[in-house]
Amino acid sequence: MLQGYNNKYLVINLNDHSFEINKIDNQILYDYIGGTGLSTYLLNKYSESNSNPLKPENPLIFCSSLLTGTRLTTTSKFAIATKSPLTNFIGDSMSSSHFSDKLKKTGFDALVIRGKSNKKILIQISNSNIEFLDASNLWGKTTSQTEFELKNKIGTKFSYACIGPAGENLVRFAGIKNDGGRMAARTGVGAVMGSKNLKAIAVGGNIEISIYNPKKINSIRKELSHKSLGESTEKYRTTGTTINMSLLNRLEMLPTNNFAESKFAKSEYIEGENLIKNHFDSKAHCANCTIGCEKIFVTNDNKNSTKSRLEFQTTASLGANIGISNPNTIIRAAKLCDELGMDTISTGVTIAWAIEASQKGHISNNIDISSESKLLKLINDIAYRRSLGNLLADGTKLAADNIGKKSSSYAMNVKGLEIPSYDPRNLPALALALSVSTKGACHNRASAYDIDFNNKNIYEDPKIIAKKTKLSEDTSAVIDSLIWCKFLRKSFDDFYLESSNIYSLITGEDFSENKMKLAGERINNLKKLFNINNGWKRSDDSLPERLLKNSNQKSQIISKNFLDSMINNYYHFREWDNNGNIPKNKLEALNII
Amino acid sequence: MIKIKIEFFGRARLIADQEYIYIDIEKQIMEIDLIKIIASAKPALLGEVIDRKTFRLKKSYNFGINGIKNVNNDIMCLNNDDSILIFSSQSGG
Repeated sequence: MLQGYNNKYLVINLNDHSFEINKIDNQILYDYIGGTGLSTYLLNKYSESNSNPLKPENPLIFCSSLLTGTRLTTTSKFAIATKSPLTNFIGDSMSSSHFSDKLKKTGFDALVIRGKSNKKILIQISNSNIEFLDASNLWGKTTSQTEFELKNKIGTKFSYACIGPAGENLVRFAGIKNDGGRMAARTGVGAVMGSKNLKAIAVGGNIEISIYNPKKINSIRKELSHKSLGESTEKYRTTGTTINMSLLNRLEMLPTNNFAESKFAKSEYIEGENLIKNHFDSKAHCANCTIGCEKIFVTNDNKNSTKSRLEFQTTASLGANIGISNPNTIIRAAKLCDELGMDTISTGVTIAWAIEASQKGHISNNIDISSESKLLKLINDIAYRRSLGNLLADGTKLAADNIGKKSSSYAMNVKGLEIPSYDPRNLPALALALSVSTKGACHNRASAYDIDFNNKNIYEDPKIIAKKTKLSEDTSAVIDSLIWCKFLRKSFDDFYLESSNIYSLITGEDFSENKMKLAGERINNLKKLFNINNGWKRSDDSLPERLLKNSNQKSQIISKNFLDSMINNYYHFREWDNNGNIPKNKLEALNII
Repeated sequence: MIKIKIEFFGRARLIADQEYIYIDIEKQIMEIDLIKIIASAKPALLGEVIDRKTFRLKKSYNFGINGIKNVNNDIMCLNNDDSILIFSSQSGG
């Protein structure tokens, strides 16, 4: 038994509405920590190779972590893992706020959901009591309607995670929404939940977690909260991330019109500085967060007033990348995606692909999003799989495979996951990280753009970029497993030293910096092993042709050869073979087999 | 003397209430002297973006010359029409 954990997890079989409770060995908790690490371990344990992600055999796993419930700032977070219906590889996504704390206080560190219910249901979990409730009256409702009705029916002492119509209709980039404004948006975790006929999960535990040295943890909590209000988080606290757009546009790194260009002529209208001046409504915090990066914006035209949380990725994917420069339209489109339970990045990038396919005559539909109502209709069509929306609901990779005609050359995804709005053509560490990421084009699993922005002098050295990217990826795995918010990462003087000290103070067991570093490496290797077992091949680690060949930029850094060189070096630092496979002795050294 | 452009991004732009300014400087200039000129042109930045005591950018901000390349030298050698970008040091989002 390790303090700070529940040391057990719940396995629910929806085929017969049964459940079992399993213990977690200490060694597993040392090796995988929690969060994305533990969920990856459980995914490997409960998955069958080459299974269909939308069939009952694909498990859907929710994990809290060691820091959840400690009230340390930014730690109310949880991880979800499953096999992604977008990529057919590991799908992992994070979300935050009260749901994570209440999940942990049910007495379980993780929830493994297997099988498929024969009717629409929701699962209610409180202090080791599990109930399966009818959800047929909730089916078809939006995420906010669902949460509203659940609060009325079950109560406000519970937190809820649910899907919207997009998840019900198996849109491959549907997310899982919780606590009003948060979403585990990426890799189609919501579609997996929908495939199980599971509308919602209610968690309402109040089992307290024991901490080995609560006095010291409390003292660290105060110190860290103070640090979190310092200069290293100023952007997140004050303006939020929407301001990224003006700089990226100035640097010609803002994906525009399906990544055909890197500069948006009308960006000034949707840049954060303009949004803050003309649309700012309020700011919001996740549970136990002192930073409060969430900024809520409101429309200011004469149509129905709409409020929505906006961050940079949403304004760019639903703005510049599809040629939209009206902030009111972006606010309404973002709100609609949230209500339908759909990832805004994948939605925007998929629409951008469809516009180009239409312009090239590769699809017969004429896509017109010149008016707000037409864009909103298209988003609705995707969520409900109506007409063209049925094709787009499968994401850019499958849609392009479906219509052929070389449309995959401008389908902007890696492994099937749509690319976020940093143009990797001149951000080499990001280009590498997007290429090799086990979940596909995710900017958060290595935070590699931070390497690019702070190390301009290494731009032409594939070896150093590869080494730094590998280390950053491992650190991110630790952050996502403990779990801290990444916006806190620069508040630490020495991340590994401080985090391993906190681990030891909570568990009562010595946990060195080296053990923690090794855990990060182990977690990334296990994610890779999952992909290898599901058919990964070296050619999956790449970028779309457009980013490697076409360039409107005078000095594009990334070429096919340069990317290959970085990938080779990355495999070398990972101690993988030249084809990117993990040697048996490496798996043994990491205690994976 | 040369003329250079100072471009503000994010919170620095909101505080300066301007996207950019032009200033005249010597071709070779100490970083601290350049920042004093910027502070003189945009006093609102003092205490918010520029440290009042040291006349350095606060930790929350980065300097870039004609892009995101960090300025590492105390003595800067600039050319006419160069741009200095002032932006957040937090790249996440």
